[in-house]
Amino acid sequence: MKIMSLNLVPRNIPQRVIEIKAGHEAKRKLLALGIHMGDSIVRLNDSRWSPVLIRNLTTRSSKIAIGQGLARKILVGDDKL
Amino acid sequence: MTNYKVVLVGQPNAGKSTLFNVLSDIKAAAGNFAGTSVRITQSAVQLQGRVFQLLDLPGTYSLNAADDAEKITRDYLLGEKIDLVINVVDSTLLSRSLELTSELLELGLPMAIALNMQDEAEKRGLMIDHEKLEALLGIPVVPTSALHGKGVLHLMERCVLKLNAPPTSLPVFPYTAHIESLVQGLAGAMAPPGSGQNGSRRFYAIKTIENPDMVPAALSRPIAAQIAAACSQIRDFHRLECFESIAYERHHLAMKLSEAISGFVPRQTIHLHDRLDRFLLHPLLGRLFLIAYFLVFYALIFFSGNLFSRWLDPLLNRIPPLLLPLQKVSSLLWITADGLWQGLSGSLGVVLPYFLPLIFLHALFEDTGYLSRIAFLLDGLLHHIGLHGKAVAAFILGFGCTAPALYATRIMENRRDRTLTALLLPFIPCSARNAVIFALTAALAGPIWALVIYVFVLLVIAVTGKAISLFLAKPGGLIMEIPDLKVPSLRNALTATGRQLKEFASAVVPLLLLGSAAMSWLSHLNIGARIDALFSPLVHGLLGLPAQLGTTLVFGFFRKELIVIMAKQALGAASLSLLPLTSGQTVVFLVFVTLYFPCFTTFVVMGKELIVIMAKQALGAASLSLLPLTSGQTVVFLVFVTLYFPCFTTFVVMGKEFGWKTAGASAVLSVVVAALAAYLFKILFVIF
Repeated sequence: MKIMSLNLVPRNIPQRVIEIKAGHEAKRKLLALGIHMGDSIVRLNDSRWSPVLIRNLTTRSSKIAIGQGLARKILVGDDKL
Repeated sequence: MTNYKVVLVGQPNAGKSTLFNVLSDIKAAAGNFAGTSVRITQSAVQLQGRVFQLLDLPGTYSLNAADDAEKITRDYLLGEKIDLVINVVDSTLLSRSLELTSELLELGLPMAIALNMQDEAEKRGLMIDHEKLEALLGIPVVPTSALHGKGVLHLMERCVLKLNAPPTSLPVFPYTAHIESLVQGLAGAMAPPGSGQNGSRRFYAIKTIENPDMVPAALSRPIAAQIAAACSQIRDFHRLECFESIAYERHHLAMKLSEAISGFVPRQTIHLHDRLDRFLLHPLLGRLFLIAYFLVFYALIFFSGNLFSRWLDPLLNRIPPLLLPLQKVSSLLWITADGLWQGLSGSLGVVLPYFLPLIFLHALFEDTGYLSRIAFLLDGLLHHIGLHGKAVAAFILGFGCTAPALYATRIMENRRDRTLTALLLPFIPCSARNAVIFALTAALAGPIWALVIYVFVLLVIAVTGKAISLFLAKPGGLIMEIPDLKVPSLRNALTATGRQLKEFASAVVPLLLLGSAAMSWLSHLNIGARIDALFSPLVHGLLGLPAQLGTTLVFGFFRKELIVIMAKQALGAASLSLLPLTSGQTVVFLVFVTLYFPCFTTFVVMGKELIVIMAKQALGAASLSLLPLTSGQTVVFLVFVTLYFPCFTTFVVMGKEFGWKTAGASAVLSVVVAALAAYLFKILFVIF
């Protein structure tokens, strides 16, 4: 499994959240918005000029926007079988 | 019979406010403090002969408040006497919503659940067995669709039954064994929470692990050693921060609950939403659309306002001749009547035509969910001036009125981001200043100058933001939900417009009349000339404007004195109130009383020059064009008026929310920036 940070992943390929290396404040907020380690998420856009837009497939969440800086601190791995 | 207090609690975008609006339609006495969802809204609701005090609390993802809006909700839930909590659950986001539900169950207040947007969930293939949830939790669970008014009455009936029934105990869902035993140990050792403090010992025991800041020191200090031991045990065991472990526990419980009560039937979902979003959030197309959107938005206001104003003008012009006979009766009477009339014709002929389309379009716009998409698109841009996307919500609201926009900064988690946004907010032209910009440019300079002023103001904001942020740390990151787009409800928009119009008529217009009469008197007693002389170095010397405009700018300060008295009275009265946000709500009241108050300042600012003209002709586009200003002078003047400190309301709200030092700094900053910016324009006009 290839691990990379969320800001680098391509669109439409399910990823599993491996690690969140952010500060307490950001971690709490991510948890509150329903982003957990182990969740399967998918990126919906692939622009470097916008925040990263994702949807949580595990909880079937609404869309969540994450700033580029924070996305760099979220590690994900390819979630294919 | 007692007055029950019922509060609506739910995650953002769960439909609380929609539900609240439907419920408050069944109203007994209106005590409706409308606003954005960052304030507590309340209304009296009568049902089956009972009067309920219904409160809409700001949306919160969890009780571990991350931002100031969430803190309001948490503090209210912990500290107020509440008869029933209606937990509004977004059925389309069932498992995440149930995390808040499980936290509320731990809190232990009497509860009912509104399973909102169930129709929408079903469309997406999520079938929810609400009876099973009711059986599992032992509290009323009613499916609703607030948007269509479905299930709302049934919900209220169940709530009445619940309120009349003897209290029942809520289910306790145990955590994983080793955490559960630690929680029970802490709860057992803890002193019972004080009176007037909601929440069981179990609730506070969990919070000592999860969010120690929330627990009163009286409860946690005696068992500090035990808490520390429990936390380090959990940390060692899970290799996670304690708050994360608890969050995962709650997540797990919510997932189990949602799996137990719902089934997912994969459906051919309509991808319209996603397709629309791919366009709206596209880095290039989305931004082009955004620019086009704003151009259309403001062009609509500009032209409809202009049309409206031209149509009203001849009607208003018929009145002044009728007042002339008064001049023979008594000059004092005539001056007063004339002043009053100028105030009225100004509010009807100049302010209202632009104000009305603006508030209506704003209400429609806020309904759509496009706001969060603008935040998304502008996030990168705002990073350049030391902010991030979330500031956009406040900025956009600021085009309506600065005061509520200051409240809207509560959704920003970070104090630094909040303060910077607030300092920049007074530079955004509010609806009042928009009306002045539109009215004056329509009359004197042409619509293109309105655009120039907007672009210039945005540049000023960018430069000021950049300058201030040089002294600050880097901004926090963006984490934001992008809710699904909604078709705006015409009914909601009309209701909101009607409410604001009523406020305008009852609270603002009288002030406009009074101020206008006072202005008339000042001019009659020749006090104005002395003030003009005093401020002439700034007004005439620096900005190259007619010195007579000095009084009008100063008049803003007279008005502010007036409002100080009102503010004191209002604040004194507020201490009697039972709400936790007493002063906040007082300020909300003030916001209403003085909403669009800059209109007055700016109207008066224009008025000074108009006094002579208005005796002959009512205020309106035609008469405005008779102002002895060149288009260059008009633009310089407008730039100054737009940027200089908007109004006392803004000052009070900023003082309340950010401290008086910040408010003072903002006042100085805005006058300096306004003078500099207007001067810059003057130079440009001299050169070209």
